Amino acid sequence: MSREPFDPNAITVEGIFRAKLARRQRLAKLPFEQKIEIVKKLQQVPIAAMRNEKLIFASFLEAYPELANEIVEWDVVDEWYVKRALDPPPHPFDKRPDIIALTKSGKKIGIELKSWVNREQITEARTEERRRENILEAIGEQPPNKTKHIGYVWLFPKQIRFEPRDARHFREQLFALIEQMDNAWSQKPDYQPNSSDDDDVSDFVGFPLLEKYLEGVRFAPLPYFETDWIDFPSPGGAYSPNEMLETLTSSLSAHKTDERYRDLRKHVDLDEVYLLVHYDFKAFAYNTPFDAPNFGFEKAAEFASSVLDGDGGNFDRIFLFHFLWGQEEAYRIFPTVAEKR
Amino acid sequence: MEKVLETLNRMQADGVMEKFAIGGGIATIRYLEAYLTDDIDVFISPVIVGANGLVSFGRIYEYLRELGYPADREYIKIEDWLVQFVPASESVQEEAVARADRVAFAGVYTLMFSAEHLAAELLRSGRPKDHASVVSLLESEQMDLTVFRDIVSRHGLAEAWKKFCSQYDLEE
Repeated sequence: MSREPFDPNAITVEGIFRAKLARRQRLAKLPFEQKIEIVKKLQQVPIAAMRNEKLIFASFLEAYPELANEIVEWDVVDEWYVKRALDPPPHPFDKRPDIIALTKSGKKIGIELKSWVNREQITEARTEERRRENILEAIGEQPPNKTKHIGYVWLFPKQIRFEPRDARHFREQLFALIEQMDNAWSQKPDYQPNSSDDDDVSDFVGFPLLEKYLEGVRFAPLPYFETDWIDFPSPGGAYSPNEMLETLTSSLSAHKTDERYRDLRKHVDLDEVYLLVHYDFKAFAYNTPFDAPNFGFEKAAEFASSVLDGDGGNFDRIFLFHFLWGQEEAYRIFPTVAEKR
Repeated sequence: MEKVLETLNRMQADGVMEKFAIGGGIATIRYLEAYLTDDIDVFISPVIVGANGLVSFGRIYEYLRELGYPADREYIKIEDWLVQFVPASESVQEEAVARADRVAFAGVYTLMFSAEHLAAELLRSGRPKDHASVVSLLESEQMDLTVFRDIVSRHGLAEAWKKFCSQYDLEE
C-alpha cells in the first residue's frame, strides 16, 4: 500500500475536517467493549492538564507581531519570579496568571491561557452535568412551548451548587422571564419576522434566583421545539461546528467573569490582564471540529467577538489563537472586532 | 460495566423488574464514537405504580441498597457507574424495551435499544443534543430506515419527524 509522505506544512482545513470525519467513523466501528474503555478513560482524566504555556505563548507572539513588538521580556509565571529573584505574591496569586510580561512602555501585563476545549474541561464537564441536572430537576416537567417567538431556551449556569429549597421560585422566575421576553420580542428595535437572531440575557434585575444561579440565558427563535425546549448547550458528544462554538461561548462567558481574575491586577501588581484562548492539537485530537466547509477559524473569531459583545469581563484584551502546525492564526476579539494578524 | 450488567440481570431474575433495556448515552455509544458519559439509563417496563398512584422505584432501590448500592439522589452508584432507572412510560420506550437487542459485553449479556428505537426515542425527547445524535445515527448508516419510519408512524412521531427533516434538510 502506497502512502504519501506527511508534510505538516501542507495541511488544509478541508484536510483536517476529512481526517476528523474518518477518525469518527473509525472510532464508531470499534468493538463496544473498547468504546466503554474509552469512556472510562475519559472519566478518569486528571484535573491537571499538561501545561505547555511557554510553547503556546511563543507561538502566539509569532502569529501576532503587534503584541510581540510591544513586549520586551516575558516568562511563565513560575520562572518570572525565580529568574528575577523576586518574592512571589501570596498563594494563589503566585501561580497566576500563566504568563507575565513587560512592555516597551513599562507596563506589566499578565496573560491567562485558556484552551478552547481541553481534557480538564472534559472532566469539569462531569461536575457541570450534575449542576445542570439539578437545575432541570428544579424546572421539573416542562410545559409545551406556547411562546410566539421563542424556539428554545438555553441556560448558562453559574458554578455554584443549586439549593433544592430554591427550586420552586427559580422555576417561577424562569417562566416569568420567558413570558416577558416573548411579549417584548416583537418590540425589539432590530426585530424582523422569521429572523434567527438569538437574544442573550445576563441582566436578571427582578429575578434574584436567576441572578444567583445563571450566567445568562439564550432565547433563540429557531429551530422551534415544542417539548423539552429549555435546556443547556451540549457539553460534548455531538458533532457539529455549532457544538464547538457553543463550547467556546460557554468558555468565554464563564472565563471572562471568573472571580479568580477580578482582583488579579491588584494582587500581582499588573497594569493589564489579557486572556488568550487557544485551539491547539489537544483540542484537535480530543474534540469535535470547529471547522466545516465555509466556516473557518476567522469565522470562529468573528463569532467569539460577537459573543463578547464589547464586554471583556475581567480582561483588558482577549485573543483567539489557532495553534496547529502550519495553520497558526491569531485574532484580537476584544476590545475590537476580529482582526487578523 | 460488567458488574452493572450482572446486577441488572440478577434484578430481572429475582423479579425486581420484569423487563429492562439500556438506552440513552450508553446505547448511543454502541453505534457511534465514544464520548464522555458517566451514567447508564435503564428503561424498565412495565412501569411500577405505587399505592399513591405515582411511579414507584421503592422495590428497586431497596433491593439495591441491600446489595450495598445506596441511592444517590435519582441515581444508584454501582461500582464506578451512576445508574438511573427510567420508567418506560412512552409507547416508543415501551416497545424499545420489548424489542431490545441482546448485546454481549465482556462475556455478559444485556439488553439495549436497537438503533431504530434509540433514534425514535431521541427524536421524541427532542432536546437539541438528542437531535444531534439522531443526525449522527442517520449518518452512521446503521439504521434500517424502513423499520425506523414504521416506529415513527406507529408511535405518533410522524409530525416530529417531518419537522426534524425540515430542520436538518433531510429526506423524509
